[in-house]
Amino acid sequence: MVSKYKKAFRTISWLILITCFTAALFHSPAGLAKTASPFDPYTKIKLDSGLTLIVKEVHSAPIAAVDIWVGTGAKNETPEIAGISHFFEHMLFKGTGKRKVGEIAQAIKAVGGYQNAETSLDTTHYYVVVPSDKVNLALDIEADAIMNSSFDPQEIERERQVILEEKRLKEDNPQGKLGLMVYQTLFTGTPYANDVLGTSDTLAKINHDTFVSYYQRYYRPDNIVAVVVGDVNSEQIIDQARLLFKDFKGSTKKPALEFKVPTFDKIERVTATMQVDQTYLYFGFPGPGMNHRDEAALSLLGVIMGGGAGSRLNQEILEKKQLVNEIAAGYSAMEKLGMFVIYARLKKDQTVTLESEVQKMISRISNQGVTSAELIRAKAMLRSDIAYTTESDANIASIIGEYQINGDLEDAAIYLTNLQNVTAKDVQRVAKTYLNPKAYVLARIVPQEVNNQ
Amino acid sequence: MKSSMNKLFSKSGPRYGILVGLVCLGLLANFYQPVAADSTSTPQTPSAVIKKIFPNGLTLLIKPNPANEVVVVNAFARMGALYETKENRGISKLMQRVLLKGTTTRNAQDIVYQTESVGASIDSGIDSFSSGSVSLKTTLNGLDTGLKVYLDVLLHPTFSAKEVAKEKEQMVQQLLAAKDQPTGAAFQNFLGLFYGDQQLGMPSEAIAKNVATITREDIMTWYHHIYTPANMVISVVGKVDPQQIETALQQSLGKRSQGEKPLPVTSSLPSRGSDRQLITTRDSQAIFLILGYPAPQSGDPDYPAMGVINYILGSDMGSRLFVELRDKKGLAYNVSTGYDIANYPSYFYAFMATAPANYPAAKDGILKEFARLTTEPVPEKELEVAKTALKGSYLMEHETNSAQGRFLGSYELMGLGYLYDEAYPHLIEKVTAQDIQRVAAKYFGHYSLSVVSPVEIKE
Repeated sequence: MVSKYKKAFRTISWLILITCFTAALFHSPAGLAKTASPFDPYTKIKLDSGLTLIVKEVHSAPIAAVDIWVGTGAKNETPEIAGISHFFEHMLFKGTGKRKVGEIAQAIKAVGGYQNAETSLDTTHYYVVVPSDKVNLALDIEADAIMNSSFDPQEIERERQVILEEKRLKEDNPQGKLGLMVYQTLFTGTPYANDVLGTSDTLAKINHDTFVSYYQRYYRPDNIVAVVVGDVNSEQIIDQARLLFKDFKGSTKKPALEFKVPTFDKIERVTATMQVDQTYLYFGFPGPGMNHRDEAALSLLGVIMGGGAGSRLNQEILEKKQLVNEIAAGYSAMEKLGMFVIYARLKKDQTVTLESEVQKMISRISNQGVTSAELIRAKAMLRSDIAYTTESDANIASIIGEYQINGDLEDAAIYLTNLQNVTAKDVQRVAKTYLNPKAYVLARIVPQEVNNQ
Repeated sequence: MKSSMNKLFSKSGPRYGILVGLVCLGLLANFYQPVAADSTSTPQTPSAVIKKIFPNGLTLLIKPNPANEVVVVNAFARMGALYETKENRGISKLMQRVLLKGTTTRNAQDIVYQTESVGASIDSGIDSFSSGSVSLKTTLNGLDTGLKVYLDVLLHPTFSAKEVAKEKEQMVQQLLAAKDQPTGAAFQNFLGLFYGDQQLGMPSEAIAKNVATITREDIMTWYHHIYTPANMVISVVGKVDPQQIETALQQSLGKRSQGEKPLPVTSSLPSRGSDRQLITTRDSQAIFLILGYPAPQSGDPDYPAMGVINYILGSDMGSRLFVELRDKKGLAYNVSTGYDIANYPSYFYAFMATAPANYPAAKDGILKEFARLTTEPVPEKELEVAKTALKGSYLMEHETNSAQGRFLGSYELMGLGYLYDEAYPHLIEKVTAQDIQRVAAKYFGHYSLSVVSPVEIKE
């Protein structure tokens, strides 16, 4: 069970995930108004309860993934209940009316499968991967957990301690700590500055009643997407799902989330010290959220700047100037906003030099644009990554679920059309628009003795 | 919580290759027809893997897979800590880093641009204490270009002085950063405790000192020592024409002179008359502990039973340590066990991160669960669940072409033979509760315990 601070911190790997399935797109004639869904064929239905079910058959291996997505995450939390989305995620596998503590894990293990869950700022999802002849069990367990979790007070107390342990681990991890620093600085004043893990104070106050209230507010059928991918029969899955979810009802309406997207007009540097040998840093630039027309160009800009050994940052900063030991860049879009991030690990604290070089690179791209060769390379890399991603049923289920819960699965086709149509001019334009060399957050973790720059 | 293919192969190697190979072929005879065991022709069943041994000793494994467009080529070679001395420890990794930095006809940029422009990637690295690999991952569209560059990298690296100097510096920095994560520090300390002063247990700072003194000539010599056909196994998985692949490799690597397999530097475990522990302090919030015991090597008849123990004790959310220490006592977020296939003196370990105040209960809880395996037979139902979980996990770990290629190539390089990939689940099926108890009693004697803590611990 992991908290997912931000896709950007998986650097290029998440970029790859959210930009997958473009193979058909890139091979199709240019100029189409809208590309066919990259997930075709699939079946999407809304059950009587209002829950959306998507089934995609993939028969290359006897495996199936069941992934249930809920449209709530840390951004939906008020300050008093900070951390509840993630805490709730932990509790969902802690027993139901018919399965006691530990029985869910045992039941999945007994068929040779595995389970896990993730909470991010936008969403929470629960997945089980099993040999495909056990997909009915997996769906049954997931449905049971979603609808009938017990929230036993004793279990809540135990899990509270587990989450406090998780918080300690995150604090001890330079990258984990850095991620929170950049988010909280860049998105301060918005729900996207929330810590997915919450605070010790808020965690201490969450109880059974808080969980029930949160559940009623967000775990409603119309806020949930169930995805099944693998060596399965769609009709059988649909029949089973209709039965399992027939009594699932939502009791209150999901509250709307409204806030003002911040503008950022200065360079803000935040620094923390740790017992580390090297400096770790993130540059963060605010950008648009999912389904914005510039998302595709920003993704390609990320690959051109910092995706792969042939990217500009790798070639110029790491290989030629040898200013860093590791560097990467990527764009991460969330539901309401996004962030272009550059990550680096440095030998000593050469931040000043690196910062100057990054500013120059951004200015160069803004003024001179990128080459057609760079754009071809970036598109080719994404095209291949699609193929790699589609090897895994769990990955496919995850991508389908995330698209649907954040809007519509068909948005993937629009995004891919946008990607296909991105030109070098577009990349230059988004660089100029969103990568302001005079307005960003620079978050650093530095060795304890190096904190004076 | 699931185990990963990479984890499985984080340590593997050839030390007992021939012996183990013979033993395992004997085991395999229970499941397969002899014709498939070590043929040089083209048997398609049961694994549909085609095996070729070129006249110069190079082994080629091809597994055609029409399921998708991904093609993965992996060249495995025996190398790494097991073949290095204390004086040149680190040279294999450095060689792997510089390998991609230029050939007689392509500079480092050419290699990167030519592959990435067709969406392909070439990576090289160390997979374990006893093996390393160079991989090409591509779609069919990039196969022709990618394979040309890939073979050029394998056959004609120049190891230019400039690139050697650059990579040395990068590697030194990487080694120095290895302990920036408390888990990394705890694990390094554990290896030092477990292997004593052998080269396998050398700390990253000492390896960094070695690397700083390695010369271009050292790397060239090492390359010719390691990259010999007799020391290499190549696996290819994907939608490929086996004949075309074979021809391409025959005309390149097939023309190399045979060479010899490198010999491992002798490695055996230090004798253990008592438990060992090392507690270090650092600025952290949690306490990190790794407690481990010796474990059977690959090919050892006890290897499958220890694999099952891993699933009983700590491999997933239904295992004993997770249920007892996390679910029931709320002692930790992260508690797990690890056991990797290795053809050198191996180890089985438990890992836990918890609050400093929980340390005594955490350590006692872990020790109690290890001891319980030696004194009580595992209930049949629990054993069956663990075996099913292991087999299911193994199936899922084979989902990608990349993973399939790594399993095949690593088993072959290790001397177990590629057919071990299909035999392993059958070996697991035969493990009994008596096997579990016997193996636990045999190996779980004196432990090695590494602790990284923010506070002084007195015991």
